Amino acid sequence: MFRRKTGVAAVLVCIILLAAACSNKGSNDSMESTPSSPSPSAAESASASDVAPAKDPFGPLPEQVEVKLSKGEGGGDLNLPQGETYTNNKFTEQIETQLNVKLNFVWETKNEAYQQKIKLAIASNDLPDIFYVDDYNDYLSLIKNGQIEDLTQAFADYSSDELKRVYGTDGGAGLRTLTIGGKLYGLSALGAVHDPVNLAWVRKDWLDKIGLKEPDTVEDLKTIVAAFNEKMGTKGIPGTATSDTAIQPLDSFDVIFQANHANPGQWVKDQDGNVIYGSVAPETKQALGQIQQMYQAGLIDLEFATTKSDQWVARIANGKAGVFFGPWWSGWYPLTDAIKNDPKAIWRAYAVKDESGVAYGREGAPVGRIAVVKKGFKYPELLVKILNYEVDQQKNPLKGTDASWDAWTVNIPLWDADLGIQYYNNIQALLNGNSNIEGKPADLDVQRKVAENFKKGEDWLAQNSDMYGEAVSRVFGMAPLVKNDKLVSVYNEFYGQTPTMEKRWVNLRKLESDAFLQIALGKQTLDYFDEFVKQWNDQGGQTITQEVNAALSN
Amino acid sequence: MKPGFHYHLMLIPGIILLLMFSVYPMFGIVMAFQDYNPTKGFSGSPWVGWENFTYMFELPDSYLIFKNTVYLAVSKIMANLLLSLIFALLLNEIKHKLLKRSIQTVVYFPHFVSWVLFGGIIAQIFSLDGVVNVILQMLGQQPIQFMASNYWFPALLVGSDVWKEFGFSTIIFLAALTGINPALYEAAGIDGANRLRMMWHVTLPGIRTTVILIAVLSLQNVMNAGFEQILNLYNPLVYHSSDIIDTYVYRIGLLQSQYELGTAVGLLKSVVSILLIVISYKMAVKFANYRIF
Amino acid sequence: MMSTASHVISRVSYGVILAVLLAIAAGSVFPILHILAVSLSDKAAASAGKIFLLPVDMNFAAYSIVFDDRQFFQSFAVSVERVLLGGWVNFAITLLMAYPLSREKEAFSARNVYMWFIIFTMLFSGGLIPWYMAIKQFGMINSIWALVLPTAVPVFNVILLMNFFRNLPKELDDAASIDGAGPWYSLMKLYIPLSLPAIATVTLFSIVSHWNAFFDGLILINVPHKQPLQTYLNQIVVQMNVNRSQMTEEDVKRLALLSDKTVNSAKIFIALFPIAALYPFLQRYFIHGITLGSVKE
Repeated sequence: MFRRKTGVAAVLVCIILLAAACSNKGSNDSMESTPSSPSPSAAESASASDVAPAKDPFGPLPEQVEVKLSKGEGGGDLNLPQGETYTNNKFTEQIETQLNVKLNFVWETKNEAYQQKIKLAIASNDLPDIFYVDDYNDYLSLIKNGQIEDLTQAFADYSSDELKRVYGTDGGAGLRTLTIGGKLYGLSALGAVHDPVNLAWVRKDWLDKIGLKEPDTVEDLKTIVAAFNEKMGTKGIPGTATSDTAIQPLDSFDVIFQANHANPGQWVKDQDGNVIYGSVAPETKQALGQIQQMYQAGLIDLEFATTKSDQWVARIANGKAGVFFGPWWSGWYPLTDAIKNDPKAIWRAYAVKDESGVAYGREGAPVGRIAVVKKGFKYPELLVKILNYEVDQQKNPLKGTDASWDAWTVNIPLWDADLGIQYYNNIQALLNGNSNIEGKPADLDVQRKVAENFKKGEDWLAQNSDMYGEAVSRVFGMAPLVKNDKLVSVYNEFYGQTPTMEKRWVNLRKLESDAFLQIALGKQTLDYFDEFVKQWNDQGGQTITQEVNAALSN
Repeated sequence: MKPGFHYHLMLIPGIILLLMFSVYPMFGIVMAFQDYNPTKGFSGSPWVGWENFTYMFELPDSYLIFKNTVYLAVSKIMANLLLSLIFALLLNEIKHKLLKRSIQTVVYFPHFVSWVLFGGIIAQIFSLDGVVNVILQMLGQQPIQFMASNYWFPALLVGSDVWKEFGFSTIIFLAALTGINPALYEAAGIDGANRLRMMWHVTLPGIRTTVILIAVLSLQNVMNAGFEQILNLYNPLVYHSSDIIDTYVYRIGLLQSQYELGTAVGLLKSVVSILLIVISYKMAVKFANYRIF
Repeated sequence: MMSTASHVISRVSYGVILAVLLAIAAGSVFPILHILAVSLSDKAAASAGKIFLLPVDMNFAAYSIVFDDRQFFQSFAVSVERVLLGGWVNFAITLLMAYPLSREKEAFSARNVYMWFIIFTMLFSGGLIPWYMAIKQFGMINSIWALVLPTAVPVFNVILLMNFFRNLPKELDDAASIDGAGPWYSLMKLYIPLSLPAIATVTLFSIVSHWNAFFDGLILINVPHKQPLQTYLNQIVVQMNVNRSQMTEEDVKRLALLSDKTVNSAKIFIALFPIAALYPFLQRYFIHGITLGSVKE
């Protein structure tokens, strides 16, 4: 019996050891990156490039290759003709024929799942030849681990004029952010100008009813909210609990920070030209003081720190808030729901200014979704060429299809960075009776439709809430940003990671979050801020600031 | 053929599957000791020894996080066990078959609601203008911000978890209750015992082994204090009492890719779990002369 | 023979017990009713938090969003296939493993080794990445087997059933061996029929587990039409906790048209409904008492 038992145990242990041994060996062979496609010998490719034709941004590859791709889908209405799918449609057909490639979508999924799948693919080094990432940190990781190709030369040689133009619409900020160590490793969607800038949205009908003027400064807002609390039964400006990925702990109230020239959560230049972390600057203390006051006075929702986004929407949609902070596109969200519940509401957006009449807006990251090429793929310029075709769609739409950009082969949106502004200007022109507008055909259609809907009046829009969002956003939401020639955009100067950040950033963020919330809620006095700055510097903040400045001066 | 041979035969398919899908991937545990680089893989990434573990222990609040994890997990395990046991015992008393089955079915349903939605319901009920505070005010009390209080929030977590999951263990106990010999009840009845005494002398001993088993098996979750629930319910004001290992690691993961940390944490959890289970097993053998497994 | 007084007391206590149980059961039902109401309500009303137990502006929009997509039905079929296949595999494996493990050391000497081995596998894991790599190596990515085989051995259920088997009277084994029955006969003809409640329990858990599983479908399946139902449902809407500073224009437009709340609620029902229909069927096996007629004292 004893022998039998040890016999079994021994066998099991052997199997486990064997498996472990085999797996380690196996991991050498099969766990490493598998080459994408058989590549011709060096001699062949050398001779091919000797007689290479001029570098044609739209021309086919010298030989037919299979390229593996992954696809994330938005799930909206694609407008695809019958029989076509996300991965098999006129766009993909065009790419295959024109560029002489065979597209193989190894996996496809919806956008939310895409994030998780691509992270797993990156971690297990099981990558398609061309793919995209939504997270800038993933992009940096890929570069650090040597998993993607350098595209500097390919972009320089093969990008079309239109592609170059689009990447110039933000002053080159996008490309600069994508360039690491002097090399370009990916091509991305551009961050839309003004998209994240927060405005104060206010119930104009209530203002008129009570007899208050439209807000210019934070003081005006305070008066308005106090009046709303008293007369309309609201409970202050709503906010949400810090989301773990929010830029700064009191993101919901960024308007107040901006009105004090404060830029928490961002790296910004100070008067001497050095880059500092906005959260430890004196302006931030000033803004926190105001927020603390407002919270005490009930001008800020008492429960903001425990409110999740669905409750936040509920307060606005329910008429329990007359003022909230949101970007220009708040017409879509949350106001579409709000208007359905209260069709008589009139919402307007205002840029909040400081005492000298200047409004500041925090701009977002210059890059969105980033497309990259797996290391070892023979023709990195393929990505550039595909993007050339795709960006061309807007000027010369492909015949026979009306499908949305989500159906493209590499579905990153390649709009001009200032597209929102273009829309605003064109729509204003149409509303003023000037039908001579310029732009891409698809955009012009939307603009005409929006202008048409807007002319039907706010009552009509309230009854047709599907159209409400776009009209209100593009006319009222965008106005304070474009018309206001005193709007100063503030940009984050640094997007990477320094060595000390890898060790200490998590802790510093927590420190910041705790400090800001304690002060805002009145659990600490305002002077606690100085204590926080000291701790922040001591726990690595000072070192990191030096590292960031060093990194930027290269 | 001796029966032993057949026993081995019966186990073989399962063992093979476990070897393939559970044991074989365990090679990945080495990541906890590496500075992992996907292109170099498991065999090529540099070895860093205990560095990932020291990083974990050196995180500020690492003690607090461990404490929260264990406290919340143990509270939930005990509360769940107690409530589902009592509920099963009470339900067992019901004679009316249809009623019994309906109740049994219905209490399992909350298990199917995702924490995303269930969390929203809890947040609503305990908000300043939610049901609980309305009742409090009717009773003349001041409203309480439950979701912001480090005092109340853990109770909220345990309570809502029990509410959602007690149906699961109830099913197991009900099944175990059917295994008690009805003759024992008859005998006790003849001896003059009422229902309560019967419960104490017949029912509880009858399902003792199952209760102990469930309790011990729950030990494997002592380090998993309910990530999804807490992620959906917590907010920065209550990190102090509700931040657990998994939520902390998750927030780190959002700021930077940290495969190694996740693996190191997982390894730590596994080691703790197996220690606890072995200890309980040995204690049961020693003090109750009973082998749990 | 009970006196009138104790009769009354026992009636009252029965009433109290019933009241308590009904109260608790009601507590389980209210959230479900609320979610059902939300799923059938108008999106704006749901956003404004106006719904309690009854729908407001009842409509089926949330359900039609889910059902409209052809992928819903494809994924539904995949899940059914997975439950049937995976359920059977679990059922067989659980029985085959629980029985030998329930034998005493004297009868089966290697029992403890196997037991601690499976406990070990229940507690230790290499992590997501090697698990994924292993399954890829086995060539199962994108096939139904990826959804069935990795979870084929439900160790928790095996231990549960083993415990139940161990609690059956020893006389059963004595009688069986006297009759010259071997292990297979014992298992099939004696243990299984006498353990129906426990078997029904582990079967229910296994079915629910397969029906609810979404993560493996996400990681291991590469094309939408092969994804199981929960994986598909999981992706229909954006996270409830929206981070507005990181939304894209697409997200915004979609949020204006869809409601996370109503669609999420509809999803819960769609998932819950088959289980709710199945569970009463399994309850037939929760029969009280084991028939001891086969065992002579």
